[in-house]
Amino acid sequence: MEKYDTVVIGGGPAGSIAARTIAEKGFKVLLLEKRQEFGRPVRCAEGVSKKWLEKYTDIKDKWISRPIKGAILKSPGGKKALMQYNESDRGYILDRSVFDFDLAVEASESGATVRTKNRVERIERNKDSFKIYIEGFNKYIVESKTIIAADGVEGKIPRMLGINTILDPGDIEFGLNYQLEGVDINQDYIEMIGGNELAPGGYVWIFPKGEHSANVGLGVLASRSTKEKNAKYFLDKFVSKRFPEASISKVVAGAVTVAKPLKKMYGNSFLIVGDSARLSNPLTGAGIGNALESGALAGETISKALEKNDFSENNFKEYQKKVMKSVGNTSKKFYHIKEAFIKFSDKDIDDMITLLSQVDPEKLNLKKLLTITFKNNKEIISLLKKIVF
Amino acid sequence: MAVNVDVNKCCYCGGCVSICKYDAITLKETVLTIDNNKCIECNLCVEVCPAGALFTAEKEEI
Repeated sequence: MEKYDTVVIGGGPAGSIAARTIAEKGFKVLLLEKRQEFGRPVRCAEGVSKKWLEKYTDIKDKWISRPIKGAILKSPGGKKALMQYNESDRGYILDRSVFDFDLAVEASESGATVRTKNRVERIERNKDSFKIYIEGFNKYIVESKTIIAADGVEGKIPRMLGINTILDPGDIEFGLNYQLEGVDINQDYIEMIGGNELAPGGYVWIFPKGEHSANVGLGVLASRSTKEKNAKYFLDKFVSKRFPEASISKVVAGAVTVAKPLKKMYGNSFLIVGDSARLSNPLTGAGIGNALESGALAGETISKALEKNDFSENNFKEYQKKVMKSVGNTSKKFYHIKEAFIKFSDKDIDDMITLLSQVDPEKLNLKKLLTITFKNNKEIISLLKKIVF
Repeated sequence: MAVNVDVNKCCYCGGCVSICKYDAITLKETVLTIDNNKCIECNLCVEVCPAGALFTAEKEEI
């Protein structure tokens, strides 16, 4: 039987960074991906901020579909506000299929064993190790001292390890995205449009992909989706109105968690990272940055534990603390803001964008946006003051 | 009645898997399966599927 120090389950950004971090320390790591290929099929609208990419990778040109200078925010009534990103919070629209693949290759180059089309069927916990039952072309079993669950939104590894990750329909957005060709948009800015008739409990995004191409999609809060009026209904309606001439070159569906981070993303001999730990931003749905950060922190925690040979639950508490401090607490704050935001009427959104449009685009950032948005809501403002600033 | 998946519409986002309280749905690579022994036909997954790929049908039809 093959023996490993760590088995990382899930080859997205969180899993690959975790595997790379541990392999770099010289430990024996196995990175498993259930799909046929790292990064495919893409299930993401592919936006990420520069600061996260820079922190954990040497950014390669081939990963980038478009660098982004700012955001255009629109209301259902046609009001518009411009947000100009400053140099430090510039963004990118990625090509996730290339990005994810390269990160997995980096893990491999650092010494990790990587395997695609290998799915974990069952986990058995023994006294000092796990027996992991894997189904690839063949069925086989490996033994590992530790596990990192990086199996994403629909992952069941945390459930197998005793952590309930089932989501409430108010805590998950169902997203659909079309890559459209032949669209005429400003390729330097992303566009985000709110509205209860456009995307109930979510928003429409238009992310430039270079030339005359764009990722156009939306998220609908699961609790507001119906069989007749689902994400596809709303996206088809939007696209036929806004881009009647465009053709669809790619369909991407993805579920985005807009939940609070897991209360417990660790246990005896295991850690949970990225979307699997419900770490994506509940307001924006952005998840890549938090995935990279939690993956790296998990990698560091496991490496230290392997050095000390201490995999106790108590020893892994530190991981939760670190994740919460760096990204989790912010996510929690955004959860409360999301809960307020989804109650907005279309008129509220119109009013909000009108107010925002009066701010100098160079000075408009998320903090300003939130202060203005909730300026008449004392409860939210006091909450924001307490937690955001 | 039973919940079925239209494989031509499913985009394997996995959303249904993460909201099913009965652990009845599994996504294996790009194949979605619904365990009729676990499914209680609450139809939550049918309502939320972004691609409209899930539907209910008489058991006899399957």
